[in-house]
Amino acid sequence: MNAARVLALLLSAAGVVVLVLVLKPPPEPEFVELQSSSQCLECHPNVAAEWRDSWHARAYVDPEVRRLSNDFANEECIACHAPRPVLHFQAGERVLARFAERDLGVDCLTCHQLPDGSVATSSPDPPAAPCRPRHSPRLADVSLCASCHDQHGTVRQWAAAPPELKGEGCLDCHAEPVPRPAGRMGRAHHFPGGHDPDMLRRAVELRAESEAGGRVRVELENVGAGHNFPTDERSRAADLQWRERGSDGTWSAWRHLHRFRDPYRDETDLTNTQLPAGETWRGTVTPEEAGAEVEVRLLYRTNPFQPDEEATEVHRVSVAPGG
Amino acid sequence: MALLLLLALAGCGAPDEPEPDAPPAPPLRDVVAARLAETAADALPEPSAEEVAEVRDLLELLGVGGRAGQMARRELAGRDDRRLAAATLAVLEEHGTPVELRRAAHALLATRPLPAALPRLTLRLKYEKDYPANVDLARALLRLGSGAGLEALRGILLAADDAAPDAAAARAAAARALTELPPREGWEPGADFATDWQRLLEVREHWLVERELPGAPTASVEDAGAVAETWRTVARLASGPLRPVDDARFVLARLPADLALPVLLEAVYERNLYVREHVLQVLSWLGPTVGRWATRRGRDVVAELVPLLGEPRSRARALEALGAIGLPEAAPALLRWLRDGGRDEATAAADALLRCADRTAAEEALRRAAERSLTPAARWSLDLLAADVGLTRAGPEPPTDLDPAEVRRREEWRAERALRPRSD
Repeated sequence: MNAARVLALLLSAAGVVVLVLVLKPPPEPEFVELQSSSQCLECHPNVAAEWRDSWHARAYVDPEVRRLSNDFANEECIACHAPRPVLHFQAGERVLARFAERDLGVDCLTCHQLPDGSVATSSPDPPAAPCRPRHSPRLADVSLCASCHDQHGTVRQWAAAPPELKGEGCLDCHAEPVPRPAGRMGRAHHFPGGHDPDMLRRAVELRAESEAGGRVRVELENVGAGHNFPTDERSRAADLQWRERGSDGTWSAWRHLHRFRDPYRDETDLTNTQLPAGETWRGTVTPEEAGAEVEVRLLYRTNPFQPDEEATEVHRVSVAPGG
Repeated sequence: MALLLLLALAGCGAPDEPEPDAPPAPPLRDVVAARLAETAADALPEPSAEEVAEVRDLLELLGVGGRAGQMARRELAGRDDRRLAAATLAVLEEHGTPVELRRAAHALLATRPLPAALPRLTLRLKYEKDYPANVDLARALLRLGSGAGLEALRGILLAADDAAPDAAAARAAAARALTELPPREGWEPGADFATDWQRLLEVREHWLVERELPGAPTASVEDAGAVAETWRTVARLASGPLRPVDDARFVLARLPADLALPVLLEAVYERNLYVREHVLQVLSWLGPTVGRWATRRGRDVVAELVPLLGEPRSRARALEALGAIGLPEAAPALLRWLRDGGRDEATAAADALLRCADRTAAEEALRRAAERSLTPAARWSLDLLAADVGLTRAGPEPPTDLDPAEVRRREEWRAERALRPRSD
């Protein structure tokens, strides 16, 4: 074998080694099966900060939930306020309660942990990471939210809503797109809902105008909720109230006009008065003084006994004196 | 070729790790479907809409009184017990049935108690708010060997809420109902209210701890109709919507032990995850009552439940149930999961050990806990256990990073250790 052939062989071998090194996929980081959502914070501080600001984070520790659930002595509430990972269940199945770290409420693992311990992401081409992210279309599907949020019919109400009044899924309204690292678009993790005044204002439109006979016609239209208003828990209530300004310039006390609410099952004398998507409730008020200035407001209560001063005023409209 | 081989090798990961030494999967089967089929003939019949409407009309006529009332009474007396009970229960379960009709229905069921009606009558305790109706409901349950209505009687007698409709009459009726409590030597029913009240408290206490009435026959697996309806109640645990599940759990936790526990201990092997989950949950709620009942009836309830630890999706609930029952012999099966389980399982194991472990098991638990990181809740459970069995000082401080409600829940479990079927 002459030197030239030896050199050629050596070069070929070196080429093979270089080719192998170039084509070999980078080693996947050692898999760390997440046991707690607190492990997610290190790599995802921004998402964690958004989540911490959400009602998902407060699902188990919020004082009002504690009161309404009798401090979770009503154990049926725990399944959705401290659930096991939803993706461990089939699509549409209800979730079951977890035992550890319930105070984290609806946490990262609740929505993101897959049955094999890896982590679901909506990104079609997720990067390698110790938590082993995998693309899962279920993450953006309504069935994921339905596991809990259909217990009181919200997802069924959304499905029955007129197409032009709803997005493609829950995330369209409840998780706005936000830029994430590496130029990827993700979804914000605040999940605004009934506790968000702006969300409430966008959901319904309040109108009032005078009509014949000194009466004032009042209308509330569900223009943007995409499901009933109010929805989800039976404790949620929305009340229309009105008042009039007397000829001496003083306002009367607020008077009850109508309540929108799905009653508890043992409230046998009440019926469901939630306002479905696209529908309009109509009523009239008759001021004691004909032609008096009238104000109508809509209050949203997170529980039916919440005092007026603690409720959220969603809208207020005035009808000028004399129409 | 060499290049391809090298490329192939480069793409390979590490060889699979050996399977951990997992406990064998338990023999799950379609228990509920089989039992529903077997007991179908003993269950209450499904009344037709016309039948329900007729019974509703007759109950209304009872309220009218006079000749119409007498006619209705005669008509009802001639009806088949099972069909009548089924139609009357349907009237009660209808949304919006007026209170006068509910009172008449409960009074009728109290005079003609039928074991098969027991589970559905028990559910009425959850929804019936009317005092007089509740008195007759409690009487019907008493006659069926259930003390589930005693809490309602006690509540009515204690209530100072005179605004409730017919509150005074209901209190008088409740006082009279006390004379129907199971007899005891030396107690003369109706002789004076103070001794009747004392008897109520005795019987109620016994019911709460044992789920049986002292000195009186209770509903049991001998009542084919009651068993059939209990299986129907268990079947509701598979529901997707939570309301039927919640109703079923409410009932199963309030049935007499001799009726409910044989059914529940069989249903834990149901293939459906949700049935298993909630049956185990009810057993946990009943807690030491299950342990004491098993001891009385000579059943090794620990051996019956331990195989469920081999089912990963039910493991944490099975750990919880084994601990809640309070038998110290469950502890060895729990210890493994304190060290080897995921966070959920380790927390459930620590909580369970707090509820059942003796001193020896507590020492082993602390040794194993030192080998891994535990949740604050699990640490707190083990701190309380160590203090309770005298391994550490009496009053441990709760972790500052644990939710106060979770702290209290575990302090209550420590207090319940006094109720365990056997002491250390």
